[in-house]
Amino acid sequence: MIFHKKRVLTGCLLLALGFAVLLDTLGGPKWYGISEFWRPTSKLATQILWDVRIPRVLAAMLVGILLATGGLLLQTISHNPLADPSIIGVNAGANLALIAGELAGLALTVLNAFWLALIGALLAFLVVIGLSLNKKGFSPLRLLLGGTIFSGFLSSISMAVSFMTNNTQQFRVILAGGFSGANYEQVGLLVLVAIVVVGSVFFFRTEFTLLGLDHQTTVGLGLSFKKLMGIAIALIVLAAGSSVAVGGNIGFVGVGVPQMVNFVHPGSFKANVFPIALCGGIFMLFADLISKAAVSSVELPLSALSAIVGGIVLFILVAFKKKVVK
Amino acid sequence: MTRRIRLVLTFMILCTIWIGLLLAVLSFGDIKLNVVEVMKSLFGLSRDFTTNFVVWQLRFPGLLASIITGGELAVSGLILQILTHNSLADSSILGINAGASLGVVIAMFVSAAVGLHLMSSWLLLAALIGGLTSSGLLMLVGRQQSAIKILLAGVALTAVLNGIILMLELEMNQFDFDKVLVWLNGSFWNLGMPFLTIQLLFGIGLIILVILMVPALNGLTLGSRGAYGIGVNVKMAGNVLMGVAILCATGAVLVGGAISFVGLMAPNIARKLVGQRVTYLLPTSWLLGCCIMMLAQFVATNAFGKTALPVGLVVSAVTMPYFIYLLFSERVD
Repeated sequence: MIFHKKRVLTGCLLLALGFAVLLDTLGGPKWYGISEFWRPTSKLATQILWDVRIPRVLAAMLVGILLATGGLLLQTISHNPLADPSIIGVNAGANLALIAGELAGLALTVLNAFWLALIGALLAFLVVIGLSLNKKGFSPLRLLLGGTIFSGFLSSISMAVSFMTNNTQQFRVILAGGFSGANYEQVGLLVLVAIVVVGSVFFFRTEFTLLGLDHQTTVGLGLSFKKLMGIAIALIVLAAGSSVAVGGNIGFVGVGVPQMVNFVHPGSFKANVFPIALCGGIFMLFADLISKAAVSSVELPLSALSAIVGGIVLFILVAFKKKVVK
Repeated sequence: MTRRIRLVLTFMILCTIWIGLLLAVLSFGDIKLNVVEVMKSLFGLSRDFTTNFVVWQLRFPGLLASIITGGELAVSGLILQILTHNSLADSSILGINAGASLGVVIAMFVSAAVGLHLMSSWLLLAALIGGLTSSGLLMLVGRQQSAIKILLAGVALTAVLNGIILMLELEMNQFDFDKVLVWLNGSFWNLGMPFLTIQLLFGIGLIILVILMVPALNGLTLGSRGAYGIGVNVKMAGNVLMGVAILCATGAVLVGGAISFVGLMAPNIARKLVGQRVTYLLPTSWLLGCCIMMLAQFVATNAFGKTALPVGLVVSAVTMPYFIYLLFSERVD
């Protein structure tokens, strides 16, 4: 029976995702009818749909999926329901690496942006983990507070660098976030990353679920704690870094979406990871739609939108949930 | 007896550093001045026109601003740490700075849209409303007296407020964007003496208020039960002190933009130096806050050649190593 219910849920979410994809493709500063696909009214419309809208929609969906999965993974391994890559400085590290790379004279092509962001994310993440590890594993308070402050530190360095080089314009672009410049090359890379991340999560889903238990139980059940932790960290860095490379600094999806899903449908990592990934995609698609269509002729900054929505969710959770951190 | 000697020594050393930094800020920069001349000029004895002009017209306002912000941030951080029983609390982590900044950014945004010229008193009001609103929200969460909850709610609140600020910021043109960005990162944007005088009086008033509250603060370090036991009106003292802390943070934000970390660092270092008693902690934190800000001011104007960085950026760079040390030492949890 439970199996059946899960199928229904997944089916519903897939339908919703399809609907969101369709809506986000057709919506925007100018709304198109669905008949545009098989009976185009003008050459321009076809071009906009296939060269601008579709890559953008795919990028938004994939980034949403990656961010939500990465967030859930981080929350599971750190035993902290409020952890999110953007809070603990992973995004800020990727940003800093992008700015530093541009300063060093690298052209920010799609590929360069990808590996720069990945390296930045990895380094920042390792520092924050180093700060928050003690003998008993992750200390939740240290992870969040240390991460927040480290994140602030990194972004002040990026800011200082862009001030000293008179390059606040570039900084503004990264700060704003969003998918307005998405192209098929980025989508291709995102698909690759998504396959790796979602595939490994599927492959290791039982192990990661057990990793959510305490350290002793994990080891007692015969799992290699270090190996699994390494894999999880690599996946988180991959997900967060590639998201920053494409979408800029989009935070709080990673904490907001898993929390909402867990609230409606409480369950273990294994049970909830795919619904959460799908919801992440749906959330991002709607956020993207709002950012491009809510105010005519202005593109709202996606990073601000997601910070506001996610921050409100987090605030409500902290305010009304009795037990926030185990 | 040795304890007393140690305390006196600490104070003397801190005062020396304070004066040394003050002279350094006044003497170094694009135009280098003779320290002796600067001292003479400070007491009104110098006849040298250049020295007098540079010291009083160019550098003194910046110095005053850093003393005001540093002192206010340190005091507000100390009060917040005592009230929340958490040595990691700080007006920037709790979202008070972000609230005040949002108030100011909204005021600037609206005035730019309507085409009004903004008076600094309006900015004060806007910052105050913003700071009060955000801390009011925070207090809703904090009723249960759970320290980690308040901190997390602060993190969430800061994210929301910064999101809104970012939204407004990106609607501005590049010129205004740069201006707001610099200000949000902490810099002394208005160095007119009338403005600074008002802020100075405001700051002195607040500090006198805090000094009057020292007995209550001392009681509160024992925890609310202990404080009750020795006859402190915990509820009232808590509310008044919270208000003072918010006012201090708002004043600092107004003078220096959103400078973080000073309120976190200064009381923590002070605690290491003189222990828990507020009677000693308060002046030490104040001195240390001023020192951090003056040091940052000195580095910001001198270390990077022609570009003057926003002071707040330097502050976070200067204080970061200590924070990492703090996290590593086990006393955090």
